[in-house]
Formats: sequence, C-alpha cells, structure tokens
Amino acid sequence: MANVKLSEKQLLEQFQARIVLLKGKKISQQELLDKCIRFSSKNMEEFMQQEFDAPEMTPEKIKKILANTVRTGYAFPEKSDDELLYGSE
Amino acid sequence: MKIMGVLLDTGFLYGLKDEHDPRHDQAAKILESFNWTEHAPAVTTDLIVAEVYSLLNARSKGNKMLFPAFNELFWGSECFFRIRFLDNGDFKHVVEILEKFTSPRKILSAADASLIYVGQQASYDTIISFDEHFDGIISRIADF
Repeated sequence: MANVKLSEKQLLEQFQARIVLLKGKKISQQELLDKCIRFSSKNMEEFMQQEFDAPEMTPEKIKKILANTVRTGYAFPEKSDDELLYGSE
Repeated sequence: MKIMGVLLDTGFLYGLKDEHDPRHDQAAKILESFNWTEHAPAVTTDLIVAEVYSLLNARSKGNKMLFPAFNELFWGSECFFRIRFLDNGDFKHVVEILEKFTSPRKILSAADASLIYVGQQASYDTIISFDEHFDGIISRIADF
C-alpha cells in the first residue's frame, strides 16, 4: 500500500487525544483516519460544502435563479413566516 | 484582511423563488444589485435551509412539484452560498445566543440564532433578511 503524507499530523494527534478523552479508550491514528474517510464519504454533500471553495455568484446564476421560480399560491397570506412555522410572531 | 461575508436568512432565500411571495420583487432586486464579490462568501445554515423547505411546504400546501426549483438553489447549479452544517459543539453556542437575545417581545427561532452564531464566529456583520428580529444584533439589508 502506498504511503500518504499528512500535512495535518498535529491536528490528527490532537483529534486522537480528544477522542481518547471522550471515549475513555485508545484509538489508533489508522483507525481514526478510516472512520473519518467513511464518515466523509457518507456525508458527501456536507463534506464538499465545508471543505471546498464556497460557490460564487455569477450573472448566469442570477439569471437562472430568477428564471426558475415557482408559484405556490401563497397559502395563509394573513400569517407571517414565523406565525406559519412556529405559531407565533 | 477582514472578510466581508454576508449571511442569508430564510425570507430572502424563499422570496427569491416564490413569485407569489409579497417580497419576491424585493428579494430579486437585492439579488441583482448586491455586491456579491465584495461580500463573499455568502453563508447560510442548515437550519435556515430546513426553514425554507418547511415554508415552501406550508405556502404551497404540500405541492411536491415545486421542490426541484428549491433543490436547484440549494444543491444545484444555482447555489451561490455556503451552507454551514451545525454539529454537537455548535448547538451549545446557538442555544446560548437564543438565551441571550430572545425576550417576550423578540422571540428568536433557533434558526435565527444559528445565523447570529455563524456570523459571530466568522466576524460577519451583515445579514440579508426581511426579519426585524435581527435589528440591534447585526446590520440588516432588506432593500436596495
């Protein structure tokens, strides 16, 4: 198996120490990394949002957003959003 | 260098998509006129996204045909903002903010508090919102 160089070795050690404190038992760095990879691949959307560059606004996006609208009928117009969602103003 | 990001609230995101929302034109005008490059990144939270979908469900009386337009905004090619997903550690701070700023006269939602928390964390001082609950807490843009 090829070696992988880590640039966040110190962070990994801190993370490992925190897990040991929280769980009360030791976990190897290998096991911890395996769990991180499994977690990230299960939570792909969140991982992409958090770890990669934030999406940017473009003139094309503005056009797309305003062209792709809906007409809900706007039920309960007498109620504000908070009243509708939470029952109070 | 100070990052001048901007927070996005439920009413603005919802208003962009629903033509029947009385604030649709207002939201569209902000979308077209706001300087997004100067205020990047735009950020919202997972609790706000949940509120938008709940609002869509309520205002449309559960019309599932309308969901794809919102899916495109949050998860597709129209997305222009980062969604901050809160974890266990974050929630403690969100509740602290809820306790600090809520009062019988100003009932904040946990979603409102999540935006204030994320804003404080990242030193963002501007929010695009139609909700007066944020007044006195963070600088609010509601018109252009």
